[in-house]
Amino acid sequence: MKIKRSLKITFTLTLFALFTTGCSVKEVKPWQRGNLAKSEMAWDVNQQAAALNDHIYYSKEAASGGKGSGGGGCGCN
Amino acid sequence: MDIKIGTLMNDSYAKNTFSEQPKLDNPAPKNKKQSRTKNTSHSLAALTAAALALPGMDNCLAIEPTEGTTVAFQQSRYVEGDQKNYVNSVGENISEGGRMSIDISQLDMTTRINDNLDLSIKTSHEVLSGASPWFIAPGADGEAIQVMSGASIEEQRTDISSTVGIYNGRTKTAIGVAYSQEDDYTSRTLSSSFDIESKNKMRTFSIGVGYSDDTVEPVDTDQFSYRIESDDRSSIKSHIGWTEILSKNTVIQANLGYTHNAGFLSDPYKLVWVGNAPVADSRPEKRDQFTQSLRLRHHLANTNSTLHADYRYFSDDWGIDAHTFNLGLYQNLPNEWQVSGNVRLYSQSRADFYSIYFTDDSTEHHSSDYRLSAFGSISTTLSVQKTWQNWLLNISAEHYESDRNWSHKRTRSENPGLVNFQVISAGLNYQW
Repeated sequence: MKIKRSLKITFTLTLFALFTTGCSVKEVKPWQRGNLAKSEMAWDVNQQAAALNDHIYYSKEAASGGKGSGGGGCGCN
Repeated sequence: MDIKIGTLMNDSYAKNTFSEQPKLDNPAPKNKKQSRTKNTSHSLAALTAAALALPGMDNCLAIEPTEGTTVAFQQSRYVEGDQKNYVNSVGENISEGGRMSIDISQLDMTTRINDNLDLSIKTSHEVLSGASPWFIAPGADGEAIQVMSGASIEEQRTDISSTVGIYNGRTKTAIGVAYSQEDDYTSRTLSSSFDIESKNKMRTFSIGVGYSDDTVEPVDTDQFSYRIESDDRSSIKSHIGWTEILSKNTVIQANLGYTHNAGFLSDPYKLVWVGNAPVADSRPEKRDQFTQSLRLRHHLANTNSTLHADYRYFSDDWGIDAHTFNLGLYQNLPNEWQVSGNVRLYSQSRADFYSIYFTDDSTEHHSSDYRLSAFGSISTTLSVQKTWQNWLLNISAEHYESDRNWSHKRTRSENPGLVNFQVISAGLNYQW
């Protein structure tokens, strides 16, 4: 049941991604990327704060992941 | 921070007009008599300056080694809220005083080795002290009594990881190792990822895999016979990701992740009330986890601010599903100040084998760990950042509160061990 629901949401997210990134996107030229290159546009603006938060949430909540495949475990109580 | 200086210097850039140039800190002069070469180099210098303005920042787009070398240090204090009508191991009330407090020191370094290689080394050291939820006992009037761990926990954790990035044209290959050591837990991780961007650099695909081999060795096993002497657990993590530039101000990323955990996944310290006595926490020896996430970054040019919006859906075969929303706003201010605010909403359902007590031992698995119960949480973070020449100073404070009524799947099952906490951090970066 969970897996089925999971697949359904994956499908929705993929459709959403396809919809938002389809043919309508106009190419952004290199010299138009000044704003995209701003530090606050990074996925994690402060990487140390993000690593600490991920570690805290991992040790206090059941859900984790969603940001890649790196990082180690802990025996957090 | 990476900016595609190489890209900016390509032929198409030189051939084009500057009519659509982004607004720069040091814009190119408008005097048409100036040569194109001078104009170009001026713009590049300004863009380079903009790129180097904030050290230690990793841009989400560029497949290019990091610029220069950055050393970052951050010191944080994590403090859990007061204990609410808890009792200690000898039955005394301990309704006052905090639970766990942790001091965390992080020291990172990233450096560009050459045009095709960069290296990052991250370390963190934690010193923990306090008490942790042990088990829940039924009170005389049927109320749930949270019993805390006997002796105060004193523990340290050291974590070191290193990643090498190998850049080749439109691709990046990263190889990482991580090692974490505690008195009672050791974790060793190997990971790798591969990114490739499209020819027009509008799209990036990512794929990654990681393997972690952990050893659990609880302390004080001579005093507590229910504790195992030693056991292992392992996990295989994998993900695929897709990043797309939607406009000159908007970028979006979708990720799918799958993690398989195997081995001893119970908590070796926790007990659970089964029948009329506490017994060891017992969880399945396998757990499959799925995540789907969407992340959006949008720059608001009019106000010089940036909006962050993240959503993650999590589900596993223990019966848990969880939603996480994150909304952040970064506001740039004059004199290179920046303030930011972030709100995080989280909600999870309970594991199939969670309950505060079990009337009999007919079920194979049982746990009363509040982290497997149904609850939700709200977390707010405020940060202030100041950049000065090669230095960056950051101070932030977070408040986290959880409540069983905030779960998207309410149950009557209580969870008196739920935690509230605060985190205060100060960080300093230097780049050269």
